[in-house]
Amino acid sequence: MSDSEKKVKQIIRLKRYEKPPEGFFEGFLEDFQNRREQLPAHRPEGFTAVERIKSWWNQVGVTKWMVGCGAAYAIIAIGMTWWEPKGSGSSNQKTNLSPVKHEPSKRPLEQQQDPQKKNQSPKAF
Amino acid sequence: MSEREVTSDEQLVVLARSGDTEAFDELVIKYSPKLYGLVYHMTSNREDAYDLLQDIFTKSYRSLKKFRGESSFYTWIYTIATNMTLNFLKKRKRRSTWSLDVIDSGLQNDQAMIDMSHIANPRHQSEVNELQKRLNEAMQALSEAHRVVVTMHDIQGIAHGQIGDILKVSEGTVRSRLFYAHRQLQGYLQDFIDPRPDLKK
Repeated sequence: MSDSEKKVKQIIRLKRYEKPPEGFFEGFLEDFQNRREQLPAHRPEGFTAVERIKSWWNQVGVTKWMVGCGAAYAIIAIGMTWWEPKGSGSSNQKTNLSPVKHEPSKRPLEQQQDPQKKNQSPKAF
Repeated sequence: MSEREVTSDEQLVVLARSGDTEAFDELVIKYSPKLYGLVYHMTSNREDAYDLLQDIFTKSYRSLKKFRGESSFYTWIYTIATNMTLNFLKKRKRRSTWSLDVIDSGLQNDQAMIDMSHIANPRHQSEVNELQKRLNEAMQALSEAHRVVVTMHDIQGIAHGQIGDILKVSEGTVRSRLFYAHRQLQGYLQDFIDPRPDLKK
């Protein structure tokens, strides 16, 4: 350790002798006890959800804002890339736009008839 | 205060958690001067230190059930105090009204400080005011990360390892921050470290 660093430490150490004004702590405990009495008795150790949000909101710094905005932008960008509106149809259900072909059947017309009908005897009129 | 035989922090914490408010009061009495030192030297303002200290003990009381004894109560409450102080300083920095003018200058009235500074550096007593002002300004010029290690180590005498536990950083990081903080402070306090010949007279 250099001499100048030693001297710096020596000077800073002088702050150890800096004490609060006389009577500073006299009312401190009493103030704390008053504050404690005002705390709701059966509250789970600390915060309600609203208080948590408030506390977080108060502590949000500029950096966090920037990170938050960046993250939100990224999420929206990814969402826009992947999202497809329902009306447009999915890739698995593509509409077949080719013309419909009608080919004549190669079987004789009789064979095409329903076999049950074939067995029925003609009704007498 | 009732007469009780238990004195250890752990026993007081157990009692406080079971609803014994007097046990927590004992912890407040025990730790308020130490934590005041930390908060005051970080903020350089007595009123802020008082209010912040009240908040720290209130938060500690309400969070007592979360204390699992993985570290000592001393480390636990110091961690809370440090985090709350750093949050406070961030908020204060954002407030445009705050400036170095609000730094307390009560030290010049502290006889112990006057005597000690006279022994440490035999100068004229009137220079104590200047020294105190420059000390506080130099401290406030440090980043919070550097100021907190200087406060804990140089002023409060806390060991490097314990500071690491409180700040949740390695001992090497603490030493490194101290080194850079000292270098920066040397620049601010150059007049007092290396007095000019005319002042030496």
